[in-house]
Amino acid sequence: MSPALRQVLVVLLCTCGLVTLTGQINHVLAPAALTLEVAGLLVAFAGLRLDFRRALIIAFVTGLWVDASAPVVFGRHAFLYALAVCMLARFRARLPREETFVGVVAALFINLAVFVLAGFLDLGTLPDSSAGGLRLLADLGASQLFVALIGPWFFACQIQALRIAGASPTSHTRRYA
Amino acid sequence: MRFDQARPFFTLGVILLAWLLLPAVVKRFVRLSFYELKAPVDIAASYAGDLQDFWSQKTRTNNELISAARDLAAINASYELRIREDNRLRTEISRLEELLRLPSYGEFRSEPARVVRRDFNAWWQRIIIRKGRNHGILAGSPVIYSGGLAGRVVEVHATTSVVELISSPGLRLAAVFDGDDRPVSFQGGVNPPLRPAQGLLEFVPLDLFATAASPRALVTSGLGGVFPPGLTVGQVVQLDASTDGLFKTGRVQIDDRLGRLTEVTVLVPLDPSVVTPADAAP
Repeated sequence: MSPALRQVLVVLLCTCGLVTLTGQINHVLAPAALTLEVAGLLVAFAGLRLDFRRALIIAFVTGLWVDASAPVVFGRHAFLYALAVCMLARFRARLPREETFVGVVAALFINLAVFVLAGFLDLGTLPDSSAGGLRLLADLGASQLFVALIGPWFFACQIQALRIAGASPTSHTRRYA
Repeated sequence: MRFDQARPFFTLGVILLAWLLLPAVVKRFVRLSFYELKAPVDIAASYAGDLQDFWSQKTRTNNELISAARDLAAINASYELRIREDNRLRTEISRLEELLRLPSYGEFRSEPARVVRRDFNAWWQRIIIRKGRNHGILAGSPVIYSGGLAGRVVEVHATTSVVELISSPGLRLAAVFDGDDRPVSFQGGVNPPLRPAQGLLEFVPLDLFATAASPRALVTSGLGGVFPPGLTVGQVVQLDASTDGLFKTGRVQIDDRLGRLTEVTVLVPLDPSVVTPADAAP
């Protein structure tokens, strides 16, 4: 198996694992009427560290994985995640993208953007849009806190998984003698 | 913007176009494949949770078990009485139906199922249960729990089914106030954080009243749909005149146990034609 394919599969395994883990946390949080959204973490590592084409495949397939059990148009999350990767590809050359801190900040921004975009797409379906705002705000706050808390762990988890699989991403850090 | 900078967006555009041109049947196949691939993960997590519960129960002392068994015996005795009462009422209903030549209510088969996952957010409130096509579950079947009506089955897969809860904004049904026979429209509402789920009421007659201090029970009407009559939906805690002044609109407080569901019962109609495809979500 080529290292490129191994990279895609390993990162996909990690993102699908995170989707499952978040699903379980949301299951536990259901009585409190709070929902966590981790879209930013699902695409930030691939978008910042991997080749654009591989990152796009990972984002798209992860989106389809999320879409499979959501009552939305099939492919919606896939395109939102793919759009996030495209945005990252535009800016990543100017960022110290191997820094975990940068990754977490990028994840927070993507999370916010996906949340707002999905909110705009669906706001009309709520029977009372104004009352929905409070719930969305609470969900967003909890999600951002969760992403900031587990972000460093999830980045480290993906790096270690790639190292074990022998498919570590190429380093782009400039080293000076 | 140079072309190399725009290339990612150009690639995305090409993928989007290809996706839009893809036949719907292919997308449906891909969706079902992804869902069935994902289902064992959720089911495994559910079984792991059950195992965890089992081992945590094993830590209970004998005294606690004896006390629980005593409580259970008392509950069983009361249930036996209610079963007898239920049989008597069924006989009475059949006798009256025959006497008045009324059409009988739909018959259902009860199928208890464990909840695999609760998927609640601002847009939808759904649960995934551990029974599906292999257990004869039909899309559109009503689902009940200890607090009354839980929702209806909207998707049926091989080993799992998806249930849309009554607190979901996408679910509407005809209901009546307990003790009144005029139907009102119930819709799942926006569920505020850290509070129990709510629903919205429309087309309430002006002579009906309910407040938080003296709430009125709302039950299913049995009209236009698969839901059998008399199932508790919630408590009406607020009623205000609607803008046109012809009816009232209101707020329904749904039992907070709905958010902690671990086990539900699917009422599978014995006559499959009762649940039409329109009863199930797309």
